[in-house]
This record gives sequence, C-alpha cells and structure tokens, in this order.
Amino acid sequence: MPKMLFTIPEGRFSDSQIVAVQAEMVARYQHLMQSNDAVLCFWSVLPQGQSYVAGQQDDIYIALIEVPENFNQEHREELLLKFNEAFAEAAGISLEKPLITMADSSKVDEYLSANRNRLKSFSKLSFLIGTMVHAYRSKKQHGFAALPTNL
Amino acid sequence: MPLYNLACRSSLAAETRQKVATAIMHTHCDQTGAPAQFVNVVFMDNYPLPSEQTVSVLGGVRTGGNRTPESIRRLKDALHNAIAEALGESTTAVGMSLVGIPSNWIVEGGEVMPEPGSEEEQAVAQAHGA
Repeated sequence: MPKMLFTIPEGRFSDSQIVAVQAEMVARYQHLMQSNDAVLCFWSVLPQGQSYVAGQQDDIYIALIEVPENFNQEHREELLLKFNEAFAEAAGISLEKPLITMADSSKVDEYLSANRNRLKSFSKLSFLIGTMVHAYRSKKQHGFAALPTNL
Repeated sequence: MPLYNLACRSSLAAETRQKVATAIMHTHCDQTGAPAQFVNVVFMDNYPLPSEQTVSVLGGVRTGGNRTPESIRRLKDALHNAIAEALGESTTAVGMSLVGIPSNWIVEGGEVMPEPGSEEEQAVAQAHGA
C-alpha cells in the first residue's frame, strides 16, 4: 500500500483542515495514478522552533509520496508539479513553499529503515509499536494519523 | 532538499539549535555549492539513541550532477565535524547517515529540482532570491 508522509508546522491548521488536505491529496493520487488503491497517510506536526530553512527558523511543509518502483520519469515530473499545486492549494500556502518528493518504494524503505536504525538496538521494536499506537490514537481522536515528533 | 533530520537524545536549547542549523547550512553550501535556501533542518527530541550519541543526523541529499561518491563522503565528514563542533561534543556523540535522492524526484520552490552544480540550479537560486 503506497504511503504519503507529511510534515507541517504546529498550529497552522485545524484538525479538520488537515483531514481535508489529506482527502484532497489522496483523491489526487488516485486520480493521477489511475488507481483505486488505498493510501496510508502519516503526519508529523512540528512544534515552533524545531524547523529551519537557510539557517533561520521557518515553517516547513514537506510531502514524501511513494510511487511504484522504476516509475516513469516523465510522468513523475508531471505529477510532481501537480501534487505541489494540489498541496499548496489545499494547505493555503504559496506554490514555492512545499518540498515534495515522489520516491520509488525502495527509496522510501531505505529512508524509513535508516530512520529506525539510528535508534538504540533494543528500542527499535518499542519505537515502532509506540509510533503505530500514537498514529492509531491520533486517527481516532483527530481524524488523521500523526507520528510523534518528540518522544 | 537537502533535508537534515536531527533526532536528539533530549531537547536542545534554542541557541544550540540555531548554531547547529547555521553550521549545517554553511557546511552544506560550502561543500556542494548549493543555494542556502534549499537547506532544511528539522529537530526531534527525546529519541532513544545509542549510549555514546546525543544527536543522530539523517540527511536526504540530492544525487547526480557534480556529486560523486567521493564528494558525498567529504560532505558527510564535514557535516559530522561541523555539527559536533556546534554542539560542543566529540564526533562520537553524533550519528550521521545520508540517503541520496535523485534531483528530478523533488519539487522545491515550485520547480522540479535541477541537477546539483548545473546552470539551472544557479538560475533557480537567483529566481528565488539567493
């Protein structure tokens, strides 16, 4: 099942706005990819003071979108611009603000694996379980699956 | 892109975060020639890191263009040293790994990212106020 991982600043959107942005992005994904597959979405909500651009504190808006292995490059570039437009429009930010990556499944796995592997060995399983529990509770309470930014 | 994600054993002081973010920006730009406005840094707190580490850095960096395995290795070493210095720690206190991502898999500043070191990269930088 493809994944979309979003990172946004805390306090910028209400829960209902995040749910609406997610619904729009999933609908665009299914339309543009001509697929009815479900898409797993996770959100990292960054507290103020925890993100920097060009060495200055700044809000960041990131989307990592998983696509099938060896995805056609011409199609990828076309879709990247469409997803950028969709994300900016749905989130109410300028077209220049989002950082969007459409990565093949193996690259997404490589990144997530590198993220887990930097943890202390015996903490990896509890980190994974804790992350999933947090995401599940967030989904039930807020309508979207948030990953814990700070543990 | 780049996006440097720092998992910290505990919350860093605002002043330390600023020093680290500045060190990352200067080091990345010096080593790669990339425009500063593409350098993103995120801090996350209270991560269970290996006992010798206080910070672990996972960087997503563009590949292709003028970047070779050797230049990526130099970038990694330079970042490792600069972040440790900004933290006031030894390099053993800093975990460091980089994941390479092809430039044309990324949109930033409203455009598909050009290859590192290309004329298009400088044009994008100028268009966005570098």
